[in-house]
Amino acid sequence: MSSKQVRLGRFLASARTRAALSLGVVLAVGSTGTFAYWTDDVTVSGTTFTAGTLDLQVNNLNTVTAYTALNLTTMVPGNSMAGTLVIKNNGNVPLKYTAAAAANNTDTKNLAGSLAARVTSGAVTGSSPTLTCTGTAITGSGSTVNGSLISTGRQLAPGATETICVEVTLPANAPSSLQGAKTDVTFTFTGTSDLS
Amino acid sequence: MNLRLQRVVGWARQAVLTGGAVLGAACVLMTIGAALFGLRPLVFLSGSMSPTIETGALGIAHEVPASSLEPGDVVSVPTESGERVTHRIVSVAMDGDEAELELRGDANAAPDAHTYRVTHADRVVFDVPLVGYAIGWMVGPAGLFLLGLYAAFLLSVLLKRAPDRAPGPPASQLSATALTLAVLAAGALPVLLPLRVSPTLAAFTDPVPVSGTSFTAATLSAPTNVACVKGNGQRVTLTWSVVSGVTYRVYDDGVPAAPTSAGTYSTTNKETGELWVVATTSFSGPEWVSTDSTHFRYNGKACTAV
Repeated sequence: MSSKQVRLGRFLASARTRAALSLGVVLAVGSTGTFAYWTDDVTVSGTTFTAGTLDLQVNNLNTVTAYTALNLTTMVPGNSMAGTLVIKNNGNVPLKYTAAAAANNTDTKNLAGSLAARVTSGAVTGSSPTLTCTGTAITGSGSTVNGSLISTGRQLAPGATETICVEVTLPANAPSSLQGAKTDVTFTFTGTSDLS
Repeated sequence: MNLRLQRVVGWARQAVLTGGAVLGAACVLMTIGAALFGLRPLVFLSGSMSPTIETGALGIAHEVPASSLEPGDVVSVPTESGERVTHRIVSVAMDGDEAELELRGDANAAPDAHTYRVTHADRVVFDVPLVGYAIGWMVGPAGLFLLGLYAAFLLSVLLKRAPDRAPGPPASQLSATALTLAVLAAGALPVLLPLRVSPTLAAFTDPVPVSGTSFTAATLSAPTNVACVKGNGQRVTLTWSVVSGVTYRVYDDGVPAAPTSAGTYSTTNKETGELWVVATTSFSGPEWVSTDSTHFRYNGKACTAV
């Protein structure tokens, strides 16, 4: 071994050198360790690892295939139908849910384009074919049957349920050309563990 | 006994120093590497990217411009509330140098509810399982306490004079001091640069479809039992069955007559023409009109269906 190598070896073996290098761990953890990269007011926020399950249910089901409460086959202008849905957080982490409606016109008359939707936290009142939802529209709820129905996420704690009322109206100004038009509507409720 | 204890303590001290030196050197190298190459460590707080990336993994992400993002990449982007979400790209829509990303977690049945607009994103290069748990523990209260003890021990070694050794060449001590300063400088890098371990949510989504809803608009029936009879002179009379609540309108040679709820209409001595009737209803808005009844043509002598 050359004297240079010996000197380097002795230098690396010295307790002081090793201690100096070890400081790297302290500094790396100390300076990178806070999880508060985006919120600097938190110094030690620690971490919460989520090993939970996310399970959103509607009417206690993960897929609702026969929701017929709103169905109306002889709709004339001014008619409205309303029905409730029970949204449930069946998992063990908090969730936020949104809802969208997708309409499928079975002809070219575009009945879906005329139908108006309203979502409230109320109950169904009246009698067919003029059923309505009580209460005011939910914040961030849409007004069509072919688009966003609830765009502002609604938070549900684990185990919590919420009843929403959906009302669909054929407005008084619906044109005569809609006679016999048919549209099928699917609502999709999407839960997310992203609570932002 | 006391001697043995001293020896054990001595070994432990050596082991801690040697292990710490290796780890510390790795930390410093990684820090410098990360600063040079724009790498970002990410700790996965949830498991919506499983089985690709499980909860508690440490991911290493590399910042890339939006234009180089492709569907299938796993990227980490900030959410509206400033948290991070790391999911796989479903689709990219470029808008200038901004990209609108649709993301979906591998464990999720549906894409995220919102799209993300970004000019750059951290693409996950690789991940190491479970290391995130270790980091999470280290920055917790217990971990930071141990870290403090460890730092105190290191400082005691660094500042202590070495009585057990012949006074070494001053150059060696100087080197150790210089190295300490260098490590301190490297440790300060993350403070100066935005280079920290970021927690990332890999949020789950769960869609529930609700189908079976159907709407059909009513159809107004055309008048039924329509008949046309030749009357006195040139007059003809159109008759049809009346349904209560329905209004009728006769078209006489294309000209609409006044609406009526009765089931009969007579022409006024016109020589020839064509007659038909429709049902109409007004629902406080535009009038809804049925299809035409059978058309009848009259010519002074007879009235016959067309």
